[in-house]
Amino acid sequence: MRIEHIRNFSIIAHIDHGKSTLADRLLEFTGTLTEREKVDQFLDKMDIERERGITIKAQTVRMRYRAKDGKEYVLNLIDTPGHVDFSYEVSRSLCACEGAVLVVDASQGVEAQTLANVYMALEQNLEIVTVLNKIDLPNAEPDRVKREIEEVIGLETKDIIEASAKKGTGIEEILERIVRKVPPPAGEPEAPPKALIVDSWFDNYQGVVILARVFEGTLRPAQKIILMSTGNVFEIQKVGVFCPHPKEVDALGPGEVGFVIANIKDLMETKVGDTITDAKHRAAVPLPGFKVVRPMVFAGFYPVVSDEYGQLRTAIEKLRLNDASFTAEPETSVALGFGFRCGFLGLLHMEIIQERLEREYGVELITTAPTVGYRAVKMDGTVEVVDSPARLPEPLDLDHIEEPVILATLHLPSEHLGAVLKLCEERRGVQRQMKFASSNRVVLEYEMPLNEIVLDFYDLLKTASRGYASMDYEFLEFRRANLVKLDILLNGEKVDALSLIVHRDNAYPKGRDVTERLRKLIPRQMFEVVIQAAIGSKIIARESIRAIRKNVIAKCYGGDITRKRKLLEKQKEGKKRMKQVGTVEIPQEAFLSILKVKE
Amino acid sequence: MRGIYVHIPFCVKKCAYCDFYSVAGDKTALEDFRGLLVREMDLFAGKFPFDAAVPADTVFFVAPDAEVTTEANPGTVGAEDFRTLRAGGFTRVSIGVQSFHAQTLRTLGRIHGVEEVRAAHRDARRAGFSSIGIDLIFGIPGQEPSDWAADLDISVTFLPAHISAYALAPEPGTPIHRAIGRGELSMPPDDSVAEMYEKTRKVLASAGYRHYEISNFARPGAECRHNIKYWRREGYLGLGPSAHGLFFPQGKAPFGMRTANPPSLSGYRRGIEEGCLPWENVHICNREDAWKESLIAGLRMREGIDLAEIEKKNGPPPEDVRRAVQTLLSSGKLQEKGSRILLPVHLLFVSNEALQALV
Ligand SMILES: Nc1nc2c(ncn2[C@@H]2O[C@H](COP(=O)(O)OP(=O)(O)OP(=O)(O)O)[C@@H](O)[C@H]2O)c(=O)[nH]1
Ligand code: SF4
Ligand SMILES: [Mg+2]
Repeated sequence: MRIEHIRNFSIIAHIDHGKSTLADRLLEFTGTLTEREKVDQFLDKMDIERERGITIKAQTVRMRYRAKDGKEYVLNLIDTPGHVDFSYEVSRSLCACEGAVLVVDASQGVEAQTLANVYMALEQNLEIVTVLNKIDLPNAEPDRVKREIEEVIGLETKDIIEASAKKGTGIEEILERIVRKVPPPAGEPEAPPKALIVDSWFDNYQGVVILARVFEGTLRPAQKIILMSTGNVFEIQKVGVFCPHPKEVDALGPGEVGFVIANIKDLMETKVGDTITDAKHRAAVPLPGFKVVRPMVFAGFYPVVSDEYGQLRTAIEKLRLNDASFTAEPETSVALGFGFRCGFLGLLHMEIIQERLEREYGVELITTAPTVGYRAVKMDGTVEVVDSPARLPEPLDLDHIEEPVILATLHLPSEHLGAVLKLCEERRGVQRQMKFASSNRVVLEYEMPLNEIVLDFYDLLKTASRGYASMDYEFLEFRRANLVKLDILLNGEKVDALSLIVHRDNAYPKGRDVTERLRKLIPRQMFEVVIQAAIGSKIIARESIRAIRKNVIAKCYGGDITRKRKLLEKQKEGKKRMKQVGTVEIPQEAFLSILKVKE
Repeated sequence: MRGIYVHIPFCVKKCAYCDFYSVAGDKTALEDFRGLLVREMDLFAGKFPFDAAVPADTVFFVAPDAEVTTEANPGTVGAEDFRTLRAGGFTRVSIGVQSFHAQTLRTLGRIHGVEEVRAAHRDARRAGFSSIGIDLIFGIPGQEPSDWAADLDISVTFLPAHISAYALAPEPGTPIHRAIGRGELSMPPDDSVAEMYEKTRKVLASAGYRHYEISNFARPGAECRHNIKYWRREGYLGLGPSAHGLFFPQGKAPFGMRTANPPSLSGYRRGIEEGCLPWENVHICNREDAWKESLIAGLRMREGIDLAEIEKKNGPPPEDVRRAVQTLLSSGKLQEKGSRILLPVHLLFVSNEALQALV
């Protein structure tokens, strides 16, 4: 294949603007999918993706397209996720491309991830093809949105393509534009190979599968390769491309994106961002690679039934094979027994992992309230990374705590400015910038503690703006803050899995909120339950749940004891979802719910 | 010695809370019913013959000191009837009083008033019944703790030998359950019902009644022997539609066999006319059943249970049952008293919370 006929591009957009649907149309138009295979959002293959209607994992497909100039092109498409938790998938995908198709919803306009993703593409000098999608919608405002694209992003809109991925309009135009505007890749087939590991996953039959973009040289079966970060050597068994099903090819040359299978057993070998080269014909310097993504949010995962710890461990190990971005370390809680402290990219990521563990591996989980990672600076000057409130050093040893601060970018119609500003101030935000993107759209930049936004900020933002505001954020730095540990006591016993780290100014309201919430959640029991919130030894809030007064089978129905037994069995079944902590039975939702948005 | 329960499913009018099987106002079926009942007894005796000690030509042998109770609804049994019953061998009467409060009786859909209760009690006594019990219900929609206290005060003035006091549990399918569902009635709060229960215990104790089961009180020696069989998991035969039985046929079901007749006259008749016992459900109990039932029924009694005795009858307990009993003991939900184990008195009205662990 001639390199001039290759085009590599990613589809990028804000969440839900129609990337995956557009990918469907491109696959159809180029005849890549057979009639029988057509389903909506074909590339969203995971059950969770299909149920939630969102893309979580970037997907790559090779298409063949005979353009109007009469030549046949190989188009390599990467559909990317729009949700901020998975933005690392976008940045990796872009590294494998020369161009990006930017999709903007003609009714929604430019939103936070539109901008964030476009900047990523521009940083990598990619050619951008802008598509105004969903023009079929009655509330589409192509003119307003074009103005926004010009004013907010600074892109020309003269030759923007108006399309409807749903109706299939504008598809050919998009393909033609990609062929003409996106430059072909460069690279020498005979040079020492340099291929970037864009993604890798574990396949039960083939072992580790690497998705690679070849920049220089050629990869073929039987070749001995080196993974440059470790220096480990493997022999290629197969190379191939996805079109959309995996198909073996003889070789992957410069500019091509495809899979490499090399009898690798351990996913940890294949670090995403690493460079593959030839063992003898070595490249001198590796490709720049990617920034390492670090978990931002942490939570404890415990089996509801303690006997299922082993099952949970196996499930986590298996899941980690395919998602190296989540971390897990064994942890013990006095209240919950053996479990894991897991790290995630964000809350959606956490929910997805939790759901997969429960559904695909059948373990019932108790999840503790998510927390961000803190740095505890001790009196002796040493620093400890604290990803669990229970592990905060003793107050006497602790000099101060530092919390992660992010830079949030918010896009919103100006009529909601007041409500959004108020929300940001409440969440300890410090404004860095406020600018009008167009006559009625505002872009705000706020420095905010991550712990203030991690759980419910996004929902509150949507409420404050009637769904019109969008947000993107990136990690800024760790900053010293006046934080305290808030402990929760049940009948005088501290429950480690319910502890939180909060800002001192919020400690009292938070303490009251949590105790009240638990009072509502914990059912009445045989004894009175006293719920207290404390900072150190100081009690700052108290609630109590009165003992249950009536739960009795008064009458024996003509000797029908079976009925009585059934009733007791039913009650017992209901209690199964409870965790006994000390003498108190707590519903499993309680642990997570203590941080939920105030109703 | 076996007990017998006979279910005669005819009522003058259905009460609003009742989910026993009975038909109201149908007198014609009664004659026919007597014949069916006799045939059911014959069928049983034919299939499961009694021990040799029974006199010849006797199908059912009633011990001379047997307790023979009839239920009697005030207003439906007259002086003459009580005399007939007494002469026929009945030794005990249980009067379905339920309440002395006019509005409460209406809520329950009862057809009598206070006067009929007085009359029934007087007539039973005159007919020679010395063991008279009265049944009461509390925790009824609209009932205040003070109403209930008044009911208790009146009850003890009758000097009955036995008092049952049940907390109302509206069962699905009953008119009262539907009225609650529609919001026309509402149950008194649990706290208030619990208060009524405490009141019951206090008033009846000071009037000389011994609290011997969750809902039952008696003058010493006047405890209901039949009901105690249920709670001690002893055998009893259930005759008539919807009746349940438990018996231990020799060599066939060492852990007991539970039977249930169909809850309808037609189903009952069909079975008998086909010449077989009308059982709709038969369950052969295993050791686990025997243990669990012995515990959940036995713990209803204030005397509690004797693990060694249950073990003697049924062999060692299943491991999870043994463990559950230990946990309940160590958490104070059960207590030990000599060789027996019982529910602490303050947990009687929340006993399900403890008994759950044993099923
Ligand atoms: N009316 C209309 N609806 C569209 C169009 N394109 C996509 N949609 C709808 O918009 C919703 C989101 O589409 P997706 O293709 O899943 O969006 P996405 O950008 O891939 O979303 P993420 O991967 O979660 O970021 C779906 O309900 C689509 O049916 C369009 O052109 N017109
Ligand atoms: S409560 Fe007694 S009298 Fe009333 S309907 Fe039921 S069985 Fe008949
Ligand atoms: Mg998508």
